[in-house]
Amino acid sequence: MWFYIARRVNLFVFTVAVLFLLVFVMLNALPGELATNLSGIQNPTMAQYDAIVNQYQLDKSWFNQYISFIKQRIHGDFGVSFSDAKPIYDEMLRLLPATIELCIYAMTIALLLGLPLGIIAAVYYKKFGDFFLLGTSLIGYSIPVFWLGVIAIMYFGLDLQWLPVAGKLNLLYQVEQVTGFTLIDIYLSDIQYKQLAYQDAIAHLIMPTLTLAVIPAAVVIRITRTTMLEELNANYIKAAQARGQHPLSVIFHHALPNAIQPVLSQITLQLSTLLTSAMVTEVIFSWPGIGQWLIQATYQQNYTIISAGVLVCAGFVIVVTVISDILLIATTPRRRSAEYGSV
Amino acid sequence: MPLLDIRNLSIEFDSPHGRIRAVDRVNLSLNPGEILGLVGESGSGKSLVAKAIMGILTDRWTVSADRLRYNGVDLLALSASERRKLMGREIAMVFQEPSSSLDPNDTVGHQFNESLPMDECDVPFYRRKKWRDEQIKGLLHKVGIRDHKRVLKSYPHELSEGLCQKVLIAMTIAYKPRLLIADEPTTVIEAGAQDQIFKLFKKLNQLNDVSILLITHDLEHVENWTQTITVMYCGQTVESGITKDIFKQPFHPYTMALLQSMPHFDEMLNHKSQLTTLSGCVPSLQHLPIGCRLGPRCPRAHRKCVETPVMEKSRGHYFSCHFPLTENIE
Repeated sequence: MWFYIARRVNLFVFTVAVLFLLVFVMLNALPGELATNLSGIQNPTMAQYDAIVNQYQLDKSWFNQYISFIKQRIHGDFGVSFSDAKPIYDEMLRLLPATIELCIYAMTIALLLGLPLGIIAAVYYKKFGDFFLLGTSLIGYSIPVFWLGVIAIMYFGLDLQWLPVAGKLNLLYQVEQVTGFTLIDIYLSDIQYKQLAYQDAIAHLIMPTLTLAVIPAAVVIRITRTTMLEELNANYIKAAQARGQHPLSVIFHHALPNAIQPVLSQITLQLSTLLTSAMVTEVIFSWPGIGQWLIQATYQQNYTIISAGVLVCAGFVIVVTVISDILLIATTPRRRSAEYGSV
Repeated sequence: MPLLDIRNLSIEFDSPHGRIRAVDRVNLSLNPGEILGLVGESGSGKSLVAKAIMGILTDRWTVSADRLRYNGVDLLALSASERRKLMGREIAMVFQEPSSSLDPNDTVGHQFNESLPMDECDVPFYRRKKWRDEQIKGLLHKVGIRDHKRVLKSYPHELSEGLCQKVLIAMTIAYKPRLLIADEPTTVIEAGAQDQIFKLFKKLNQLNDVSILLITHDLEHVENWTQTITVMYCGQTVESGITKDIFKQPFHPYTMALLQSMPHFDEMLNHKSQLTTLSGCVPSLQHLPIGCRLGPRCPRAHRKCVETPVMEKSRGHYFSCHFPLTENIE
């Protein structure tokens, strides 16, 4: 077990190093002065330029530059934005929670919907329920996020006027940002109309979350169905049935715990897809998250923001993958023992 | 009245090449307190018969039979919940590959708890845990596991196949079944543990009066541990009767071939000499011959063999062959 964790952490360190190398090479290759690309300061004065050279060791070999680049980024210095010279790190701290919030809610909905439906599809294998759910999930999987978001805005936002079409919270509510998660911030704040603020926040959340949840939910249904089918045909299920156990007990005590592990590992792989569609969703619903910020930065050729966004998003995916890997091993008895712990 | 009475049991499935009859009109009868061996090569449909009795075949198989009765109860007519009452309590099954018959994600002890007969428990709820532990301990001791604490704490992958099989047998006898179906219980078990398992079956048979349907391809075990046998080839019953009689004088050419394939080392085999086998191999399910399915491989086959022979009886010994070995053909 510990050996396995050590291997995973080792892998994590090297993956992150390669990620930094790629971003560093990208910054070198981009047009413009390297000092400007790294620090984000446009037209630096002589003193500023010397400071940057000193900071990033630009007068030394490329390896020293690479190492000091990693050092700066790990210490939270991501340079300043090209366009408004604001420190990127602060901006990111403000925007990242909004994206994570959206992703967590979408993932929760996808799991709450996908797991039971996947189980139902597997239990009614090749019957009406199975075909219906498979067809629905295929439709859900094939609908492009940007189209679905726009249609939702047109129908629920403009025609029916049920839900607000943009933003995180109505400007009427002056909620101070502490954690970045709207609902928690409302709870922490001392505004007067908390109940109304909650309602408003949830109304703002519904459309982006559901739009974002469609694809993961479809994926979860399909994966759950496949792994459940596999487990339901396993010997120990037959043995449990032959012992006269109740079918529900067989499904929930034996088949599901075994099926859910591959489902969770597959979902982690879907995280990068989820982040990508979250960026699109943010743009459509003007959700003040990291995706919208990044896409704007791409239009402005704001290299420091782009490099910071690449680092943070990729880093987030890697961290979650490693954690879920370790958790998966810790919960699978067969793989917990050392000889199975190796990759 | 036989405890298990099967007459003309057929098991079919639909394939792209049409409906295939994997098990063709099998007959089987097992008297109370008897150990019956069901013998045949792999792929001869032995396990299918066992699963059909237990009712755990998947939907793609169609089971039909003139009679499929356990103790007078028609097993095919049972509803799912009625069947569940019978399974485990009256009829129990032990599978091949014991370690895969246990949930890999759960400790053995926890799984054992689920198969205890809680309706026989007459102690108040606060003493239930102790009652359970005692029951499990007793059952494990009965099958010859001494360090029950370690076994109960382990996960299936941490135990040997032999131990797993013993645990599974202990689980199945928790309800004191009257019929135990053992589907190749010792194929993946190391040689030392094989005899222990068979001794255990013998003990259960003699002390608890459990009837056993022993499915195997190992003729030596059949010879030593069973009273009657039924031989299957390619989904058809070819011969059945008392073990001793069949081993002394088989009627069907296939049984003869099986017996000859057992090397007898007292008969002075020549160095590097060939062991006797039937020529050819078992036909695949898509290319089953009509009539007697042994036909193409049978040394005594005639034109008449394209008709399926009817089961014939001669002194308690059933066989289905037009030209049994006891008759001379000119």
